[in-house]
Amino acid sequence: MRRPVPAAAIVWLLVAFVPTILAAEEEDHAAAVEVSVGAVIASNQGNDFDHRLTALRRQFDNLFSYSSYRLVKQQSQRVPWGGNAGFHVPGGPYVLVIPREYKDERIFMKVVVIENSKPIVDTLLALRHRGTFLVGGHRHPDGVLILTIGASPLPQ
Amino acid sequence: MKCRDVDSLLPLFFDGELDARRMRDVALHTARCVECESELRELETIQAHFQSGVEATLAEVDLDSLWPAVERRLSRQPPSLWQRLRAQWEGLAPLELPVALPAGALAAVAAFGAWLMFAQVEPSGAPELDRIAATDYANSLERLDTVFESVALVSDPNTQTMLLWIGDEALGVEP
Repeated sequence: MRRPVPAAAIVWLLVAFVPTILAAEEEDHAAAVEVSVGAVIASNQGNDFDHRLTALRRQFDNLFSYSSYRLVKQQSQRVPWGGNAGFHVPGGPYVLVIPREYKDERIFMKVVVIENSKPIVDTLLALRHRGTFLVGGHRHPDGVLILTIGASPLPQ
Repeated sequence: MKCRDVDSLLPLFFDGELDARRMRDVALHTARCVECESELRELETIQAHFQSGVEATLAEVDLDSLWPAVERRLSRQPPSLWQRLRAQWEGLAPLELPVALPAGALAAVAAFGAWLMFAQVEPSGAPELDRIAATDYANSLERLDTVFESVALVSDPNTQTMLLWIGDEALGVEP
């Protein structure tokens, strides 16, 4: 006659594995997101590369041919999903970032660039976690403006 | 970038085989040059014809006989590992159960520990290129409204970066 499987063994297995599964689920439902926006002035005057932009050097080298890059402002904000992060570029436009949801390892967000009370760029995009969205080409008194936008979901 | 430079790069541009900077330059040029844009449209037309030709050929393939052939092969498959284990479990004598149960629990713990160790091997700051290849969820632009007539979008998967280039300052960035 076969003995039944002890209930203690089943309970033990549940105790061992359920917290791990629940923790993995929580990662996909972060309550907030950290939005980072930076304003970079690029020009061909001089050969200065702002050391605060080191993390973006590879991107800049791949995409642009400017000789000088200067970070004029950087700001990180923690906002809830659906909230908005505003960023004013000195001498330039106003940037609004609205993270909407985290799905398939990508952050869906709306980015609006406003100048003289009018949206000049209004876009909806999906950005990979640790990905970077650059908006460049806008004229600035000191060169060309490059906006750097990134977002990371925050754990609960 | 001149028209003759762009002309030689258009096939590579169309196939997405240029590096990010050249992609941007070609995109910007074709956005402004009517002749190069029409060349690009021609490439698109050729590609569309080719694709429709391939689809037409595929449509002629008889797929009705495919599944019966697969079923015949499946029926010849040997029993799976799970089926063999289950057969062994059902043949286990009652007195062996007190030994088998802790052994199974130990195996589960060992597998869980191995999974934990394996999960910690990946450094937190490492590039996610492998995961990109596995999931293929890339950066993407879902919608764009802008007042600018000239816009270029460049994606650099190596750095997970997407560039939206707007306005008419692009010519000023030529080396």
